[in-house]
Amino acid sequence: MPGARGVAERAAQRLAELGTRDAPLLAAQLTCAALLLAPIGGWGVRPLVLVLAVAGLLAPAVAASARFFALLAVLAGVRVLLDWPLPDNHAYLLAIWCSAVAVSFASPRPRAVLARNARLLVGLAFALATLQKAVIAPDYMDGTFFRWAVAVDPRFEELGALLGRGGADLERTRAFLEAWPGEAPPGAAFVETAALRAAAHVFTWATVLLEGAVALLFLAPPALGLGRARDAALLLFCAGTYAVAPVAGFGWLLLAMGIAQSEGRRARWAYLAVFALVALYRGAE
Amino acid sequence: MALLVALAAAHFALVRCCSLHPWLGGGFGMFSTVDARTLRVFRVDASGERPLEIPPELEDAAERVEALPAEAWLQAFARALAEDPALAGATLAAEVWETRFDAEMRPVPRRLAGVVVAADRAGR
Repeated sequence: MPGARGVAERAAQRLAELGTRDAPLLAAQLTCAALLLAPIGGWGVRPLVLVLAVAGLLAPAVAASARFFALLAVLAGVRVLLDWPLPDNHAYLLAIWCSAVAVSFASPRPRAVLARNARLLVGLAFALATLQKAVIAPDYMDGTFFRWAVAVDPRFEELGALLGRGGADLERTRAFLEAWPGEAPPGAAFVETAALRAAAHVFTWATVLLEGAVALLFLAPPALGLGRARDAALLLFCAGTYAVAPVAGFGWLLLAMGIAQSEGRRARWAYLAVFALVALYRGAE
Repeated sequence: MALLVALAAAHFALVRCCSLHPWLGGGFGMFSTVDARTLRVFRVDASGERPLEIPPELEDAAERVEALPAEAWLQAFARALAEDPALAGATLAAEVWETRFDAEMRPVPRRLAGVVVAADRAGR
């Protein structure tokens, strides 16, 4: 039996190996980890995905196989079809990402192909998210979305109380927002302080500017040498957003895509650290 | 990449033509707009409309109808609801509403779709 010191040394060695691992393999295995931590689909798809995710994590050669990711892509696609129209963005993105990984591993230059696919997918996803918020949605840029979300979403309760709306005021506000017009219970009203309204506008602009920046940085030509800025913007987005947004699986998927296009060990460590941070957020929920 | 663009185009088309929930589909519209949709079902008779509770076994179907309020799906939902013996022979109405908020945060509901399943057709 190895002593505690031996176990610690082996764990440290494994951890050190992670940073030196090839970016495509690391991205593939982080995708498997994401599927294990945030299982997808119903009972028709989930068991097989979980078995594949464990296999990909335990056997690097399996994770680096085009056929393996083609199978994951098919399962992720079947999940979208079975659950349609309920799957949201990341269910689609997962299926496309698994296809991209499969195509990359089948190519003679997997690293370059996967990095390009990852950059384009992240860039397009964020460009669409920015377009939805800044142009298409009728109630985002005027602050309505966050004024509503800060009131109804339990994760904003502490912030709301800090900014002047807690206890009875919050209950009155929720009763007002959730009631059918003309059917609100007595006393229901939208209670809002100036600080809350300002916070809603700050969240609105911070989100749309950061998402727009990620889109531009990931869609910019690689020759511009914006690698560090790309990583910093995506890491900042994931570290901030998934402290609040209840979609850790989407965060892990974005981080797997981020690591696929990252250059250098330092960036990879940063992605791994934020991957762990999102897991901590989820554990604290 | 082409697949992502095609899925986004399908999302925008379905939102425009068929009131697909903007958060769903491949358009990356999550957290871009207020998420407040409601499926309301009524028993309709001479005395007016009486709201009905959605039974637990129809909650999944209700979620799908709220996400994409296609008339055929609403009809199917109302017919499934009419299978409840307590509603035998009743005329049922099913409607999907979306709530927006004005500058004072007053709710402004909008009916996205609705069907009435007449007594003689309910349960078929």
